[in-house]
Amino acid sequence: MPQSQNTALPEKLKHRTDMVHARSAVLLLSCALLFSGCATMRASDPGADPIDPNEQTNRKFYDFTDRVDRAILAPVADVYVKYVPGAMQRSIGNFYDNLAYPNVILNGFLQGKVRQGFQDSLRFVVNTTIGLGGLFDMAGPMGLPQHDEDFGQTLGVWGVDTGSYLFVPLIGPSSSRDAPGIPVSVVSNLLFYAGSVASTAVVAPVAVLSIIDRRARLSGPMRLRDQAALDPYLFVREGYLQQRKHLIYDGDPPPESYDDPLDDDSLQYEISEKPRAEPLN
Amino acid sequence: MVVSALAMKVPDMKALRAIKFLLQFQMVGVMLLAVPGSSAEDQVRAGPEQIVSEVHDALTRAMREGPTLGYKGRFELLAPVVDKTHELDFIARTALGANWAQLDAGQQRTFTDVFRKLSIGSYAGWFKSHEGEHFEILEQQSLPRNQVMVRSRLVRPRGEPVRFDYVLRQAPDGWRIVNVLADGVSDLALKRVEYRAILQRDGFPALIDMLREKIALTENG
Repeated sequence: MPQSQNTALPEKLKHRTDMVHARSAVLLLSCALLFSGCATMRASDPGADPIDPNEQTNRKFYDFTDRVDRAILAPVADVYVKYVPGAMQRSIGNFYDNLAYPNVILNGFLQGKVRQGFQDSLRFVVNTTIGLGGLFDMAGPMGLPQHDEDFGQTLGVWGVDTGSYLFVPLIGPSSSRDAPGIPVSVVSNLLFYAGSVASTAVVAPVAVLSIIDRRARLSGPMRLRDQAALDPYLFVREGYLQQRKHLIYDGDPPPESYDDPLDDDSLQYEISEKPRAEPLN
Repeated sequence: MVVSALAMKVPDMKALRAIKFLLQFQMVGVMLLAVPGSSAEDQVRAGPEQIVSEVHDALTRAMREGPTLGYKGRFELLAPVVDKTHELDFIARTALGANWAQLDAGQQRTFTDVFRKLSIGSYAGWFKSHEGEHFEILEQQSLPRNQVMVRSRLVRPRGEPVRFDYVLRQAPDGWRIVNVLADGVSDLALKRVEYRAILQRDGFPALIDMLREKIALTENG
């Protein structure tokens, strides 16, 4: 679902040169700063959802990204899903997951999950060696399952609130808390360093394939969005924000974390037996 | 020898009778204890999980027989189960929030009807084929406002299991599902945000038209 879009998205940057990486990181950070600035300025806008004070800008970025996706990425991903054998798609996916795995290890430790951190380190070693550079997930059946951690989740575990929602152009849904995780996942991905050891002729196709792989894995959620969403922008936003919370709790949120739709003030009259008192004004 | 054996037997028989009596008495006691225990369990525990199991059984059947039943067959199979296990009127009302009160009775009926078809149609569209998936109920937790959450997952032969968490509340005729969370994404919360925005931006007729389009799309799901 949308959250995977986020984890997917940093990959899209990785094929570029270091220069571009640095530039995008600076751009993203400045975007985050800019938006959090806007957030405080426009918080009093009555029509805006408090979680999304920059909805107008975000919608523009969303529409732009969606146009690029439908014109270029989606058709390529469709062909890939249709013609590349499933086993090969899985191996390609494993390969890129393994390259990005140092991010999971790092953030496991940062969240104080020491045991998980060591297990994930072992997983990385096993899959890189016996798993032939990550093509095969040999560690999973050995009791070293894949985890999903990133710096945004770490900040969440540390108690940082979601802040305001951000849609980062060409990258996807994020938030002022999760956006700093984008550069972290870029520099902790081994693909980022491939440019310095291998020639562009080798790295470029590998990087392009990583984008196709990521987009192909999103084709299910994207289809669901196209089928179910009345307002795709809001669908992606709400789905993303909720799934991030789910991930921060490692997929097992406590009952207290359930946001009851009935908690909405406008519904109080239905929950309490008697009608709500009329406001005095 | 014989005499002593007989002499031994008499107190033995007495002891046996006493034990038997005690056992019977105890049985009554156990039964007395068990009766209120089990009925309390029915209300607190078995109820919500049974409701969720009913949904799971119907969805599994829809998947198994999916290709032969077709969309229409799956819709007809699931409709009575969803009607029985979900409090659809309440969900529809909650999805609109404060906007519900601003609709007239006819609009409310139209919305509830369209919402019901979309809910059942979505199930019929998603659960259409079976590749060895099965549902597992994990646990039950209590939520504020006398609601409970039944956590479950759909285990797939390939790929990660999908979490399905159901929120139930006690309706006049028993436990009913009022929300479903798929991998942490709350269906009701998602719909609330979308419906509210569309009602405010495009109005009620536009919302109904869009929902009807989506119902048609579930058929191709």
